[in-house]
Amino acid sequence: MANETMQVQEVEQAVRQHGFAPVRTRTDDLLVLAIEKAFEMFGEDCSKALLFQLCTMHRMSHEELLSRYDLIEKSLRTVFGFGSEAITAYVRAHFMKNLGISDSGQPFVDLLRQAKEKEVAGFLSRLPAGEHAALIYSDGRLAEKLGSAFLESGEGPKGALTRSRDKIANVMLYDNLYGFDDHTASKRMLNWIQSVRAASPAGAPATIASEAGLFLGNGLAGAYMMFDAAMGPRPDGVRMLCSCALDRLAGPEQLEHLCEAHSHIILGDSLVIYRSKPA
Amino acid sequence: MKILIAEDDPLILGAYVVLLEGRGHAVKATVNGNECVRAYSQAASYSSTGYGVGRPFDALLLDYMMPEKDGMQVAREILALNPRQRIIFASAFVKETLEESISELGRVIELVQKPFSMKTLVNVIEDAEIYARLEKLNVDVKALKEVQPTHDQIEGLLKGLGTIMKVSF
Repeated sequence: MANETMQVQEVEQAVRQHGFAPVRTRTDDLLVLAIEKAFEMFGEDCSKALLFQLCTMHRMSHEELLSRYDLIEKSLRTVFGFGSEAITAYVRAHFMKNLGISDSGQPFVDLLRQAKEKEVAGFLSRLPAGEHAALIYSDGRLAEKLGSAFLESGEGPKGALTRSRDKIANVMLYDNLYGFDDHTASKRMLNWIQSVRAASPAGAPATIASEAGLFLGNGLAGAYMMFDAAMGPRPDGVRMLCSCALDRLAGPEQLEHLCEAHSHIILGDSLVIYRSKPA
Repeated sequence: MKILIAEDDPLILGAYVVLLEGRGHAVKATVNGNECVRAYSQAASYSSTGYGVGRPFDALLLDYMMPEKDGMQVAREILALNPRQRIIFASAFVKETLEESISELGRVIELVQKPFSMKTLVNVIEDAEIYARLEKLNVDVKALKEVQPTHDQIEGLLKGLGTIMKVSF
């Protein structure tokens, strides 16, 4: 059953507690550069005093705060009122300049989101063999877009654990698993993975996309968790993406399982990629 | 800056236009309140995106005493369209203008007292005093001007920095 109390912030916190660390992307770096540049405009003393005040407001370190543009924007408004708009306009102008794209006049949060979405799609397209990523999302369209980007990449055979036969020829359907006991259903999934891998020309890794939320939320949670655990965070000869809607996650236990079975957790709401820290 | 002026004396209006255009500002001159409101509404409907969102003009310079529709009536109509529009009154009646602005508009407006020198007008419109105070705080004013901040934005910055640095202005 879906647990409606599982919130994005809780998931983020739990993922961090399980030893995952956010992967800094180019967008993050360029944004931090633009924020620092905007603060420099105030001269050394004012800039230091301002940063100190913002860090105190949010009880965060300098580094933590600079990675949270949403909080910076909010607290600048508290300190400067309308004046914050001049700072955010400066951040925006320098961010766009550093990114090398022209300003289309869209809201900055939308521009940032687009840039981050592109980076996550790129990350998934380049996901190497032996990596097992999980996407936890609220927006189904985002999951579809990222899933497509993932399935369009890779040179080896492709397969999907899904509800219906779509563009991918090689699928393991939910209906073909439902009704079996956990062990049998899990075994069927693993055997299917083996069959996809066996079709690989010259050992190119298989690209597997899974609608994990479908299985976790519809009576196959036990079987799926067994299968996922058997695949592990570093599956041999496979690059894999499991997508799960946030409202399909039945609480911290399933989240803990996802953390243990995956090398990367991607949070769709913030578009942050978390990588598990080496043991 | 984009500046809209309403002044019924053509000689004074001409002097404003020559002075402000000479300083690189884009000036729209109108000779009465009705024309001013029309010019504003038209420009507002074309106001672009980006830094200029909801900013058809950076400043309005209104003569307080005009026939047909006076400066206060014009201000009321324009603030109804854009509550954040910067309005500067040119008035010989400081006390009355300030009192009326509070009772009619619910806020204290900016004012240049007639008669004034052209230098005073430029300093008010270009926020010379605020920028000078920001510079005293070591703010890189040149960099700040890159984003063409509005009057209320730089005023907000000065106030915020003053609080942080515990400086009173």
